[in-house]
Amino acid sequence: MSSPAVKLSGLPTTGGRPAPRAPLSVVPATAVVRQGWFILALIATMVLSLLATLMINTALAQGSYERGRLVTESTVLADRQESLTTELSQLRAPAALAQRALALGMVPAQSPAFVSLSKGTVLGVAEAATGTTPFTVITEPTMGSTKTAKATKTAPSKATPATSSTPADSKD
Amino acid sequence: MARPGGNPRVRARAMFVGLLVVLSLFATQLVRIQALDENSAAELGMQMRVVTETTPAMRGTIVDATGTVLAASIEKREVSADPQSVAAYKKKIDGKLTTVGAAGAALDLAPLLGQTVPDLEKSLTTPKTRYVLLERAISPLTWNTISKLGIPGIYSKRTSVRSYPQSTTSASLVGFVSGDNQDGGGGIETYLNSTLKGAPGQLAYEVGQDGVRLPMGFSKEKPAVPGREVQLTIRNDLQWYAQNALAQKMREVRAASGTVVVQSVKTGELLAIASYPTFDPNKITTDASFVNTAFTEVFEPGSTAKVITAAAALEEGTVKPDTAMIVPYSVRRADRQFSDSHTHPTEYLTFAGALAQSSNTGLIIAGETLPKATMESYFRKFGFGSRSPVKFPGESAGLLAKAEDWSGSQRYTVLFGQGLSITAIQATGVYQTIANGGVHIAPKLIGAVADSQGALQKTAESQRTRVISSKVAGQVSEMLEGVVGAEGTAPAAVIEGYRVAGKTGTADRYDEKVRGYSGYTASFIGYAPASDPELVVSVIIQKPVNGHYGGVVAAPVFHDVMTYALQSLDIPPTPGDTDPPKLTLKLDSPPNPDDPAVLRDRGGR
Repeated sequence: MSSPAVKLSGLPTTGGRPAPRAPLSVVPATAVVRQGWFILALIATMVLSLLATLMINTALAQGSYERGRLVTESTVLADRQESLTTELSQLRAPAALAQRALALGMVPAQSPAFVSLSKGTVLGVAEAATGTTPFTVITEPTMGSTKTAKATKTAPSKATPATSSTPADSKD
Repeated sequence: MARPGGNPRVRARAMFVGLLVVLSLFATQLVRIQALDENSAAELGMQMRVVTETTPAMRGTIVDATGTVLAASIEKREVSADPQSVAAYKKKIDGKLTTVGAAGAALDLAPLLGQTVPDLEKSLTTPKTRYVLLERAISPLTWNTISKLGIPGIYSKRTSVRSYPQSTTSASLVGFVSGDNQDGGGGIETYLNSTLKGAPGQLAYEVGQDGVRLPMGFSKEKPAVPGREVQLTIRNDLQWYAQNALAQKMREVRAASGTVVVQSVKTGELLAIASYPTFDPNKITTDASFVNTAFTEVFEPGSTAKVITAAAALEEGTVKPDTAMIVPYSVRRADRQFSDSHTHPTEYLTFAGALAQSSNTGLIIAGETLPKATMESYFRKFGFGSRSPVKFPGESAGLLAKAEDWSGSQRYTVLFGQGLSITAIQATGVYQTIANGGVHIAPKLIGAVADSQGALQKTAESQRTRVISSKVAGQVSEMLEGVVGAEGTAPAAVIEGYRVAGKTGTADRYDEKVRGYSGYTASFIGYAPASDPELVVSVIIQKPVNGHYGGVVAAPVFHDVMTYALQSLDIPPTPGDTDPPKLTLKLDSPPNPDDPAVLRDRGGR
């Protein structure tokens, strides 16, 4: 309380001699033998990973080629299926069948007849078709460029029938 | 004092601080790009590498009741070229890589695209453009071959074309598609466009510098939703037969248009709807007719509508089939003279006889026993004046004025089917009702629609409405059997071994062009087997030139179509039931004109 300067014992005094240093020496190289193995491991890992990358890339390319081949094959098959389906649809269309039947000399039946298998009877009138009625297969959508073929918009939506025109009587 | 910056320590510190400032700016930028704006930067990069392709949805197939394809879509490729890139086309010739350009590309592509070499070369050298359409639809296989040529600047886009294997047979019913979007251009294709269309999908994938898809790269697919399949109630074979029979007759009588409708009596299903003239959906031309006459064309039915007058009078009890009638050749009503089609002395007939002879005067005398409003209500109950629930595109409701608006003479003309207009579908419905014991079944055209899994789901059953009692329906049916036979107006409609009922019609045809009556509407509507009806067939031929009577023009078509339909749908006749019931048509002696029960011309009071 009275004296501000306290003398601490054990601290070197400014005027005293420096403390002696520990002697320096070379650290012995203990890991020299193991370092060679480590480099080998590193090289091996690198080679392995390069090989793996190569294999993966090869597999990818292979898969890509395989995919391309399969896509082509699938396209070819789909195309073939489509053309066959279209051809079949056209061949089985009734108009085409009727034309073939006419070409073979067949004629339409004039009376429907059925055989009852359970009773062993004939239902309807079974007569040989005579072919006297002319039968043609018409595939043209219109009658051609005649005047009658064009009169199709006949809907008399604004018709006010029977009021402003000549007497209309039903004919039979 | 040392010069500013001259002190190496100060200088080093200044440089250090400067470096720190610059580096921390870098670091902030790095943090901003890598951490904060990471997504947008990555996205920008991705955008530069990702290609998006639209995969079109395949349009749904339209099939008939038996599964026969009426309309189907086929996958195709649209091929386009970038003339500027094509010029760099290189090819190995004799082991040497040579630039052959557009000329070489044209030489290679011409046989594949089915074009001539000069034409193609011209397209491939179009100046000032980077897009030329080469071919709208080639098969995927052809595209495969083209893409293997490795010509730069040749691109393709998935597309599809619509094919109609039945061609003209069901064209006016099924319709067609038009435009790049393959939207319906008429018929069922328009009517069910949203169901058939589906939704296109998108395929996005990453490409490398050379535009080739990267194997492990980003890819995202939103699959296209294919359109749904639609099944009609139509039977394709019957449809063809009806269309062909109609076309044959049309060519023979040189008519303006014609319609055949085949309907199932017991379900209301429409089995065939022939309409002529028509069009080829695989080869659209402008002069073709795209309407379906069965739904869109309205006409005055004439005699075929007399059954409604008969049914109404019988149902209301004002006449009976054996009511005695004095039928003159001509009667005067509303300042107009109404006559029968053939002159005859005054006849003594039963009501059944008047209908069998299709007498206009007889029907006026019997029909005027009913108030106007009652007649109107029967017309409406039989389906006149309103569109059928099919609601086909462009379908007409016909023309049936309100009873209070009927003019003086119209009140009488409607009794024999003039002064009102209907569609073929409505006309067929009248006979379906009588054949079905008085119960009208709404016509049905769509049998089933596929759900999202592709499985066909049947549509709801048609609405049934009782119009007349089964007793009255039976009475009318017996009278209609008298029409088909040696003494009736349509012997040509007889089908050997079957009982057939029906009615001819030869109506004055209202022609909008001349704003008055011109030509005739020849019709026959009937059903079979009459004892237990299964099928109703209506034949309507507008403005025939060679012949005009319904019994001559329309009845033979009815015969052929009905004969084929009975065979094709396996409907045998009822065994031993070949003779129609005998009805008294003519009276042996004149009835007493003063008897109030006798129907005669009393001047329309």
